[in-house]
Amino acid sequence: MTTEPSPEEIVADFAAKVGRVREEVARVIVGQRPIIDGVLTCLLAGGHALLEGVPGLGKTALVRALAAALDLRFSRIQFTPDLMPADILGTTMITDDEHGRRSFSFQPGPLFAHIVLADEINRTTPKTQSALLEAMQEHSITVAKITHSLEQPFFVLATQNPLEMEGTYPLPEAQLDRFFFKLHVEFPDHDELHAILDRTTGTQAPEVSPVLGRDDILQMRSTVRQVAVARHVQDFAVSLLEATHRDRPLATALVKRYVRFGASPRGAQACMTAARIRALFDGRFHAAIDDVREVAKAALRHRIILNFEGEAEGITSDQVLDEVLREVPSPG
Amino acid sequence: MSTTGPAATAGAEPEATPGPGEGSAALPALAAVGLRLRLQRSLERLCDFGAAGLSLAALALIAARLDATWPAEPVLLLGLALPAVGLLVGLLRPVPAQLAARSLDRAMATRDLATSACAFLDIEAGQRSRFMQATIDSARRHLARAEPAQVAPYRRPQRLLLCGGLATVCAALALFEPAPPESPKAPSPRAAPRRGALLHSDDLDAFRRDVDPIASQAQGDPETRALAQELNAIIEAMGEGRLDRAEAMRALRELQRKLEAERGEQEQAALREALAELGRSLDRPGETQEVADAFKSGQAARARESLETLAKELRDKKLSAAHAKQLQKLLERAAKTPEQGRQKELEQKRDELERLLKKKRKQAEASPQEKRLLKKRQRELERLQREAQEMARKNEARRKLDRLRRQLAEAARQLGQNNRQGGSEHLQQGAQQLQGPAGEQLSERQLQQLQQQLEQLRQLLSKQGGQGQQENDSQSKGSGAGKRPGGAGERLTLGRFAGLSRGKSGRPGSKGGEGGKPGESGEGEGEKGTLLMPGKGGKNGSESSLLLPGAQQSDRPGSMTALSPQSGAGEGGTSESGPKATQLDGKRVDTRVQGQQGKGPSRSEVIHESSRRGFASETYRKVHAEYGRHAQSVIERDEIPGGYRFYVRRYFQLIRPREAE
Repeated sequence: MTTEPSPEEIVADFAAKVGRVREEVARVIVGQRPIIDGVLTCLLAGGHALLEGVPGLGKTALVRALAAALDLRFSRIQFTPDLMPADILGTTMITDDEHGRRSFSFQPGPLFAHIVLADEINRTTPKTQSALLEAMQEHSITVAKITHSLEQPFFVLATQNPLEMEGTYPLPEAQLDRFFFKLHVEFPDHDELHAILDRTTGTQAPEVSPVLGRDDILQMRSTVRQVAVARHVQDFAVSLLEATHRDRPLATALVKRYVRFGASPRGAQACMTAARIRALFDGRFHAAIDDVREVAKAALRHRIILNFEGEAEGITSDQVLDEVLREVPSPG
Repeated sequence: MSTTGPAATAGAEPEATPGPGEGSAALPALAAVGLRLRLQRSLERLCDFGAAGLSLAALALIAARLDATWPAEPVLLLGLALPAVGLLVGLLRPVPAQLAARSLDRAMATRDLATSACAFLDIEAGQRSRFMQATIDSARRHLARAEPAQVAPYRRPQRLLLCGGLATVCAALALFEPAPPESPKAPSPRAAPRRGALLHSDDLDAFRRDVDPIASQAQGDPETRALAQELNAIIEAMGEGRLDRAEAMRALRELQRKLEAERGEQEQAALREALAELGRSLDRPGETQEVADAFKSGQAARARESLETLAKELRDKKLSAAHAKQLQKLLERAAKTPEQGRQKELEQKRDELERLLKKKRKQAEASPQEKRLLKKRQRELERLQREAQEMARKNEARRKLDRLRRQLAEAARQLGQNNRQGGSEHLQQGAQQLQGPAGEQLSERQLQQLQQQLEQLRQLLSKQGGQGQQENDSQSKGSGAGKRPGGAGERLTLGRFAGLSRGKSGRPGSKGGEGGKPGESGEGEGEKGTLLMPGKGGKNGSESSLLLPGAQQSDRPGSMTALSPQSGAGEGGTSESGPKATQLDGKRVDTRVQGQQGKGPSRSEVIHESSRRGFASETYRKVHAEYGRHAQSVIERDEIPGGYRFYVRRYFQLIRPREAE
């Protein structure tokens, strides 16, 4: 006879598993704790992450390490302008069976994996981007009128380089909205650089062992939904979202001046889900306002569309969100 | 990992599930913190309401001090009741559990544990999720360690200092007993000076000089004398600074009222004048000589008696036929009214002028000459209208005389018909018209003079109160050494001149008022069209300066430059605006004399100096008197617009010859 674990046990188990993944990833990746947590949050929330940073900061290495720490199927797609949707989705081919009979069979593409690294997603054409984004949203692929479901967990980690914009196809706002988080990969500090050199230029290459399986992740995803959220915390998330809209009373000065469209309700959903996961990371049964504050920028920055004036003045959505977080009062 | 997580709760006993709204019961710390918050809030309310109440009380006390009849008690009671109301409101109003929970979270860094637990406690126990219940349990365990004194320490209310200040003010006001209001007293010449003199001694001298002869005239009317003395006392009080402007204006108004009452008696004087005129008509040697003398004396009572005597003689047939005939002719002549003729003439002229003016106004375009003529006619019409008003003022006296004349005419007619009895009766009736107080002998001229002085004084004061005040203020702030008798810093200037010389005054080279910059035209605006503007003199102030319209005098000693009209600033002694000098081949040495820089005396000082030193001769006295009289007559003929009459009078007052120093 098995007894249902208590909330305390569930939360403790969750925190322990996350801790193990962090440890494994930390063997390869130096620092970047917010990015690791952000990626894990996306994975546990059932969303996808867009990593943005200049080349060489370890974006791909991070994803590889994470995939290695999780006992999941991993595939990497290097997006190029000549990449076609069929190249990533898969295609129907004529095959011969052992009796010499020919038939059409579907050959799955690299998207048929648990973790997909879509490297430099903005270098491919919108056509291919759309094919990927449909899979991200629907968790299924339709080829030759046949829909193929993607196995859960399906987690896409896309990267893009913000510097080289020539010959790129920036993701449309609607497609950016499909990403749960947009994470900025920051340049490592002095000590971290030393550690990176020590680990990568020596004779021993660090190895990552899988510590979490597919079932563990699915179980953790179900745990996330159980985290209690009080009304005032949800109020705060809603207020944050409203404050990004120029026509709402809570709109700040920067929003009123530079924002064309505020964040969509998906932004608030992302905030709340991420806040729950943060609470579990912290070993709590309830989400707090501070959790919402911590995840707000990653969840909302790619959902805010600046107007021409904002673009021209070099205003970033992070600046807008900083002001929003500063000025939106805590409820009560 | 947070201390609020499962690690902190491992091994804890399962606890009873509280129902909704049992936050305080389930979390005892919430109740304790809530109580402290309520007390703190009550103190805040006490101070808030206390500040409002004390402000109210302070205002009530001030109002009561200002006006003893003001009902301060109800407001004071309200002011004192307000803090109690604030305290009660603070105590009775419950503190939301969320507020206490938030305080706990802040103090204990439990990341919304208490707040969330409090929120989950409001949900029915059956509807709570396991994680919600776990949150509540976690909160109960964590908050058990909370110290309410640390979570919600008592703080000093924000408005405590304000309350203290207001309470002090109230106490001071309550202890302060204002002095009983002083009843206004007539200015006493011996009273100590209280304020600065309203007028400069020079101006006071001018007024004194005009009023003193009236006040000291032995044979003059005592009423007039008393009024003159009263005016003198006001002037003295103003000179000694015992009256401020408002008081002086009040005293002058009162005096003017008295004067006007006195002038009302001038109707009697008009009657006397008319009687004298009538007397002159009757002045022929014979039986009417006595009557004529009585009439000429202007005494109505004596005239009445003489007329009655004449009537009696006529009735008693004491007069010969020749005398009666002579009397008839005299009475006929006396019955003719010169005033009636004058009035008729006035009316005719006025009608004619009005017709002319209407006609001219209808003409759309008129030449400048015609316009001037039109203006002249208009002024004449105004004069006639005033004259008619003056005649109306003397109406009562005229009516009496009209009736008398009618009786005299009737008596002459009866005498012409040899009806001595009838003539006697009409003479008797004529005598009755002269009944009533004959009035005292009053000098109308003196009264007029007094009234003129009074009016001038009032105008001077009111001018000073307007633009002159600014001048005095600015100079008293900055003049310092720039004060000397006659300086604009301390004396009144002509109102118009004061406007031009505002704030610029003082000793040459010294900074008086705003001070003068080298080469700066201190006197300012050079207003176009200003007639006979006293100029600003040189350093020593020994030069007289009468400028052309709009001309400006330089700041250099003794030099004077007539610039073109509308020229604004003085440019030293050299006019730069003129054409260039002809270039001559002959050898010459150009010498540029640099005058002393600095401000000269003000315009009024120049006038003052001029009248004292340059022209204080017997000839000047004569000239001044003649011109003064002419100016007065011009004013009376209304050739000078009303608004400028004060300046003309004042100007002549300023340039009057002074006694040698």
